[in-house]
Amino acid sequence: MPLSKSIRSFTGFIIFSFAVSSSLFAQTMERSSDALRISKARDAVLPVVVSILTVRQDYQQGEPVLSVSSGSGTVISAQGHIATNAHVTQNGKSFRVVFFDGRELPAKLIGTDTASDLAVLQAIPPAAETFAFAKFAENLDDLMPGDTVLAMGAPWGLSNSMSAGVVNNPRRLLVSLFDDEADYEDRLGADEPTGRYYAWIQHDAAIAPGNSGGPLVDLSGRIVGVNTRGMIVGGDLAFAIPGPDAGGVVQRLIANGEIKRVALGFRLRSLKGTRYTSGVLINAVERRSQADKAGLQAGDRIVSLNGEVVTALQPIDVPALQRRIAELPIGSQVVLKIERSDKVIDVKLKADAQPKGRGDDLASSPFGISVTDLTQPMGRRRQLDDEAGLLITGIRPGGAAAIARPKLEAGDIIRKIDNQAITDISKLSSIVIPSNSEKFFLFEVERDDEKIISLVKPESNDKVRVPLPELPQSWSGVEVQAISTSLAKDMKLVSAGYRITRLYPDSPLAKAGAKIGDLLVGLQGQKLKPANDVASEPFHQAVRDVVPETEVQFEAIRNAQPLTFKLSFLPSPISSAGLRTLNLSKLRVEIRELGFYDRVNGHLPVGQTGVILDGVESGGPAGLAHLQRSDVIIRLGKSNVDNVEALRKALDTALASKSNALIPIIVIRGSENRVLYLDPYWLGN
Amino acid sequence: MFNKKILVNIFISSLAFAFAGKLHAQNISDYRPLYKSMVQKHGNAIVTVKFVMAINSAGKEQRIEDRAQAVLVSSDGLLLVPDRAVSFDFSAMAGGKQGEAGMVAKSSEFRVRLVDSEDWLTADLVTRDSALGLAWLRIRNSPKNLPFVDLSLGGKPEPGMEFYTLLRTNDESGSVPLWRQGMIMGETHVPKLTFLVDGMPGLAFDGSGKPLGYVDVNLTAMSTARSAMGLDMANINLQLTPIDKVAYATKQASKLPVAAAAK
Repeated sequence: MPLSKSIRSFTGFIIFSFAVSSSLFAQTMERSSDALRISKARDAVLPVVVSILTVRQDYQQGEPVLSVSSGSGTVISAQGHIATNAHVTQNGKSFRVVFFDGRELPAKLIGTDTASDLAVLQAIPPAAETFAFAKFAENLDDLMPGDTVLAMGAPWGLSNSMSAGVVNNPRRLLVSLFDDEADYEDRLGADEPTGRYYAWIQHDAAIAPGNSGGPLVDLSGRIVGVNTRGMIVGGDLAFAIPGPDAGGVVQRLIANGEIKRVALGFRLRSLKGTRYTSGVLINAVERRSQADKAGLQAGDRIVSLNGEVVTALQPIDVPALQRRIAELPIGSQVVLKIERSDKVIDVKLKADAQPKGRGDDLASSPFGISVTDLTQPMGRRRQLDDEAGLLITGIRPGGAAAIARPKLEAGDIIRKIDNQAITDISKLSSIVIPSNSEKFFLFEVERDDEKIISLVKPESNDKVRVPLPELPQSWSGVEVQAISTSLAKDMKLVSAGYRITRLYPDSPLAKAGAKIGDLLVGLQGQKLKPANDVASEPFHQAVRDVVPETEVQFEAIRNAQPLTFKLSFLPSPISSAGLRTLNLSKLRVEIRELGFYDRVNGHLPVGQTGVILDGVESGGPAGLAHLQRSDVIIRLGKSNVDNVEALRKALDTALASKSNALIPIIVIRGSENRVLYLDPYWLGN
Repeated sequence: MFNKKILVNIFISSLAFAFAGKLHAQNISDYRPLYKSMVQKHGNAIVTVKFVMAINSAGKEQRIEDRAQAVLVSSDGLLLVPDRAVSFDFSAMAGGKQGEAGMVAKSSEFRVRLVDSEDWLTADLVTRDSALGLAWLRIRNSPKNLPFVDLSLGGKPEPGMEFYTLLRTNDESGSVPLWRQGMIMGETHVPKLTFLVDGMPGLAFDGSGKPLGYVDVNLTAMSTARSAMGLDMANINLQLTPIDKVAYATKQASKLPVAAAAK
């Protein structure tokens, strides 16, 4: 290496080192200051952050399905109100909240506002209690890009987690440089658009599913936002609802349980790209809306609202304006000054209450369908003339609707049943279906602008499980390995045949004295001669070719000595498909009798009793008790479980005590006997 | 990966069937009399059955509706169907042993549409024989004197014979009979007496209308008949179970009541 270069490098190193040293000193001071502020902010909010466990009920294939999801929230009142996202509580049937100290309490839903994606739960303590709580920031005027923020919550359900990052943009509209701002609302959600009324805080504190509803905190310990959206793919992009907006919404939810807004029936777009410097453009007008009736047109420019000047120069200015309109008094008269073709006109219209975005859901087991109440926005989006009806959201395969004449389909709108108008789900649930009757119901449905009639016969027995029996087949009770003639020769064995590799307990060959390693070379005088080294099936077929319970004789070789086994084949054990199953709806599990193969594969004693779990619904009581597929339940509460019926009785007995105590369940899982606890809370006890 | 392998095998087998079909189609120039007599004799005994196949996934049944060909084998509504329409053992497909406590898709809600009827009649499972790959259903409240194929009057299959499978299209395609010839290409006794054939799955008849056996695809055997660039297609074929075995099992099944539902 040339000296000059070495000297230059050395000099450079010294200069760089000094620079680093002085900068390090400053940074160390800053860091210690930041660390102190972070720990103060943490201590102010993290103790009142909760993890939320939601048992959701969704609908698949026309049937309700329970599952578990998690989110985060913040206690915001001494009465235990918890602010979170509406999508955390969506379709929730029951809720539990886990506090910083690990305490777990049930919670009830106080109110939800899908338009802002915010909801309020309230913890239900066993005795009256005053909760510690935090407050939302009242304004964010001083929140700047680069400010440190802390995301708190339960990413992936991992409670009491905190991450740090910086604000990337405190006023972010989710429209990239390449998007048309007019499409923004279309992307907010089909039937329930969210996020129309605020700009987001974009930050890079790491969040993941489970952080939803958790607080975003600045170094002053203020809740500046509610973490709501993130990017699973693409890195550190997180979006939070601004704290002041969230605070206002949750207070109204606590007071009223809901938030009513106004809809005028038009969409807005900013003046970006136009020659105008004031006002806001009407981007679209909904047919049959107040705006339509008042004669508003797409392209009109609103210059004032109730006498006050309005302007949205950039897309980011639009949400605040949307909110201003949404918060007008319902039923009031609104005066818009409009500029159209260089003329200014006044337009008066009535401020209608914003209709519910999406209707309630229901599954009808007898008809094999799940439906949603049609709402005005849903009807409008589907261009229906009439919004009174039910939208079929799912069809149970093989169910009544699926085999109706003609069959019903997801997307059909039910208008009438037996000539009775079905205007909402209560009308459907009020239909009396006589059990085991042959009655048909005439459905009138709308499909792609066609009015179709269909005859539907409801089912009353929709959960029948038929074990699949088999014709009896002979069974010798061994597994074997094929030893072909050439293999026998190379192994220096006396003969080809089938070598016993596994002997099932109490099987015919076991009782006849056969041992593992014996070579079976003949059956009823016929040679057992494998065609190759791998196929054992011909042996089993040779056994099956004999009528069950016939006396037979095997010729065998053990230690080069011939021997015979006289025995009667038994009928083969019942396969898992032939065993009795039961869908136990209380626990949301499918259970099955314990069969021969369950015992031998699980290394269980021949006389082992119990029931095996064929399936566990994750959001059901058994799933929440952490029961798993293949667990063998041998005891529930104080009762032994010997069979399918015994489990049902044991559960009924345990629940009859009306106690809220956890019900212990003993299961065999692998090589262990394990205790799990069933919480009567999840059973609605 | 599993599905891909099956698809490749099925594709190769379909090629094999196509070539074989061309070869033996040259023997008879006019099949019309044969078609007419076959359809007249047995056409009304060939029906379609619909069912719902369900598999339990995470405690919830995943269901699909499907259909299969069925043959009326008694005047009082006993139906012969392939076992795969009743249950499907995924553990056997994955190389496990049949009957073990693996994942099994099970069918229910069987419905049958008889010829010249618009009604879908309910049918119940009677029993099945997984080794033969057959199952039996019985029509609930069956009409009397239904047309049926008498399996006891079967013929003797032999390699080199041509046979004919009768099928019926679904109601969306008019519910009409179809007829397809096949060829018995060989015979094996491993693991059991089976004829290796090309053609279509279903009940196979000889030229005089005698049932010869039941043709079906052996998915388990296909999944293990591995051949990549070697293109060993000798193992890619359908299998015909001789009619005497089918008839014997059917006789046993005919004596049984329908399977009881779990309460």
